[in-house]
Amino acid sequence: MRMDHEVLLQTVERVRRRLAARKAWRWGSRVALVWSGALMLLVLARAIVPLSLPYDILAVAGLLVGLATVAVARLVSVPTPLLAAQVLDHRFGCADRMATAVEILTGRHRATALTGDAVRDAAARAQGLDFGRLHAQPDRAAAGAVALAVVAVLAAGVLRGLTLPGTPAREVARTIRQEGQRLERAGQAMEEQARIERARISRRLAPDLRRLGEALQRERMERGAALARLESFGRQLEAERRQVQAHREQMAGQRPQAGPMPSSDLFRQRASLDRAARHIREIADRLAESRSPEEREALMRQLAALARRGEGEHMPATVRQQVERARQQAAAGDADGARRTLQQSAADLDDLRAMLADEEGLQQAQRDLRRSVDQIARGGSEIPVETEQLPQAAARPGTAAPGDRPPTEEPGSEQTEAPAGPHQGTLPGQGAIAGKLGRPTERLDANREQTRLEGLQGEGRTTTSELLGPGRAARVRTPPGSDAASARADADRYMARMRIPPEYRDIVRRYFEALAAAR
Amino acid sequence: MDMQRFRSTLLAIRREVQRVIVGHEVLIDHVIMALIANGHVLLEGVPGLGKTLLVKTLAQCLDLRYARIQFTPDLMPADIIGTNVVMQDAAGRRYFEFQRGPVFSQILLADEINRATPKTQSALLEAMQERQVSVSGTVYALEEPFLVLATQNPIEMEGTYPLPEAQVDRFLFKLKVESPTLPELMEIMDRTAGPEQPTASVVASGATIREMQAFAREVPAAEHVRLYAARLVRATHPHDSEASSMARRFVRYGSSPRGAQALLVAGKVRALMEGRANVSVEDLQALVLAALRHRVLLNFEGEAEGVDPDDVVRSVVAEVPPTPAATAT
Repeated sequence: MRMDHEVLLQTVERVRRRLAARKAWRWGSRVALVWSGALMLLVLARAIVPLSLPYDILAVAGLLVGLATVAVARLVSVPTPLLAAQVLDHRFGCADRMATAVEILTGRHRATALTGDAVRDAAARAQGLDFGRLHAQPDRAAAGAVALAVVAVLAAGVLRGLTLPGTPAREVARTIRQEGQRLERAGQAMEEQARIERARISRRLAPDLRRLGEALQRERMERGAALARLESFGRQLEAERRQVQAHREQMAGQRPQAGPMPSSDLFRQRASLDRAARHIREIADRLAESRSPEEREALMRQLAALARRGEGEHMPATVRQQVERARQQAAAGDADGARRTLQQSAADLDDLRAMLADEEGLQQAQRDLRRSVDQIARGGSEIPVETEQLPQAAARPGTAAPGDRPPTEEPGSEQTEAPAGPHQGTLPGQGAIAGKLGRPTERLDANREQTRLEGLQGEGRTTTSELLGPGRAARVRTPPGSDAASARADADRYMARMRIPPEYRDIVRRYFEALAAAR
Repeated sequence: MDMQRFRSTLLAIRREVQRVIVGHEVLIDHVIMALIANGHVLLEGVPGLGKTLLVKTLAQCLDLRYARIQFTPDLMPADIIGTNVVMQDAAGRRYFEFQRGPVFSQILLADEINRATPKTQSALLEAMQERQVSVSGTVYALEEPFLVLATQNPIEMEGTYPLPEAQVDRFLFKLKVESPTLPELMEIMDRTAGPEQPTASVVASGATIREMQAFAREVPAAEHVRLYAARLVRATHPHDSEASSMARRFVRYGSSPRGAQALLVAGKVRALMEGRANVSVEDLQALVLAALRHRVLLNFEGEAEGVDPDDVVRSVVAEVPPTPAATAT
């Protein structure tokens, strides 16, 4: 009886351990299966809802959660000996021998003439059992969970970018492509502008921006991936911009600034430096050609004024010193030396101007990226254009439209209801055109202002004009001396930044070209 | 008494009965189980299937006193239990003497029991349950073992008196006697048409049977097995939370507690017959039809639709899971 007792209890204990492990695996498998199923649903839901999740990481996490569930369940879910005995009876067809014997051994059953026989019978039966049938390994649900997780990860790759028509996901995909087109155009404009302005960094990064735009259009990219690429490129731009800013500040002898310089200031400085460089070159040319003492005296005065005020205080101190040295060389009769010194000063100013152009181009690219990030993050809903870099024509009612066509709709008139009819808004004279055309084009408010440059340029005086853009508080200017290519680049940049209906694009372009020609 | 001897005796009884009775293995086993479980059996079947021969053979091989009562509408209770008759001694004094009826036997065949009036049928009530007979204030104990095997014809309903529920409930089993198969019929012809009739030998005495009855009661039954028996019985009650779908619809009254008792006691005997020292769920499932079919009372809808109580009991077995925790693990 004693031996039977031990055999039976050992058997039941063994079964308890196996059952605990088995149950733990089952729980873990089910948790992992549910997780994988949810992951699969998320993958499929991407065709409807714009979801950007790390599916591979989530799949691995699901399997790990399943394993953690196994570990926890193994500890907390150990069956009682009686339950283990009942399972043994059930699984091995022991006809309730084990459960009866366990009840007898644990005192739950009163002793009778046959209780000893019952325990002996159960122990004899227990010795011949094959416990391999009580599998404690992962079951089919575990295999299903792993398979489902793998399928989910593969499907996440294969079905990436596939969207159903009319769904938010399709709208986001469309926005990503649109922003890709916009960035591609911005990259082209940046490249052209950089070439004109001899901005080396912008010229180097512009193809990257263009290629990023192409990638957004070409690849079936999800919102998360698109945003990640945009932000990565944005960080690169910021690093380059900081470097250019530091170099420019060092070269200009300015104190380092914490943030970027406003683009209007950059523009103003660049224009100022451009004028100063031209002025210095003109003086250098005149210095070599001047013969009369009066003419030379006038050039001396101009050099002195230039060295003193430095064209609106934007000229670096080093350049002013060079100008002063050139003036002294000219006064001492060393006209060639003064000319070389002035040419060196102009070259330095050109370098500084190129850096400003670089910085401005990088800032513009950053703004383009930010706008794309916002657009894609919002899933295509229209966002207001930053007022810092793009003035709102709507804020100035009564502005003339580009070309000869006056604006037909004021902002806000889109709410006008169309007259009722069988083909509402589809027949000439019926409906509201705003509903078809979308928002009215934002007008560039520009007033021409005649200004005169001081100094001489060849024969007579040169008249130039400035465009006073609505800007922020400052005035937007087109630098004197910019050629038509520069104006075209500016036009492209503005047009890329604004939402202009296709039929207006030529008009806007002609408008800017006409401005450049007039200048 | 030990398990080995118990089992060999049972097998010997079965073997002897089967020397005379062809087929009906399950029926024979159930009758023997009822005998060891100290219960009575109601046999239902058309005439000529060997019911009487079965009972006679059993009595022969057990060396028990056997009596047969043919129930008829004019049968009186006294015809069963006996009566006091006036006697005169040598001195010419008269006195009453109790003349014992056929109930004073050990194996009683109540043939076509539903042909007698309820009054006569109820004469068996006390004998079946209390194992005693009361006549004129005197109680006469019946000799153990005492087994009543009643038969009834399920087809002829004219001129019959259905057994009252109280009496039906006193039968441990209600067994259906089926017609023999073709090979069995051939075998019956071979055995009975020859010059020699097969006879059974005595293999156990009444004392042995009593000993076996006491031994069978010692078989342990696990708690979940007993619980299963109770749940099976509860599931026959239409208003119970565990009632089966058919019981809810077609049953007026479910089984009495005697049904659970019958299941467990008979299960113990069956376990020993199978060479086990414990009752199992399988034992209960094997006996549930015989033990519960006559304890399920159909309602009007059940009667109208011709529902077989066996189907109700089968639905109970199908819908009440044994040891749900074990099967779920």
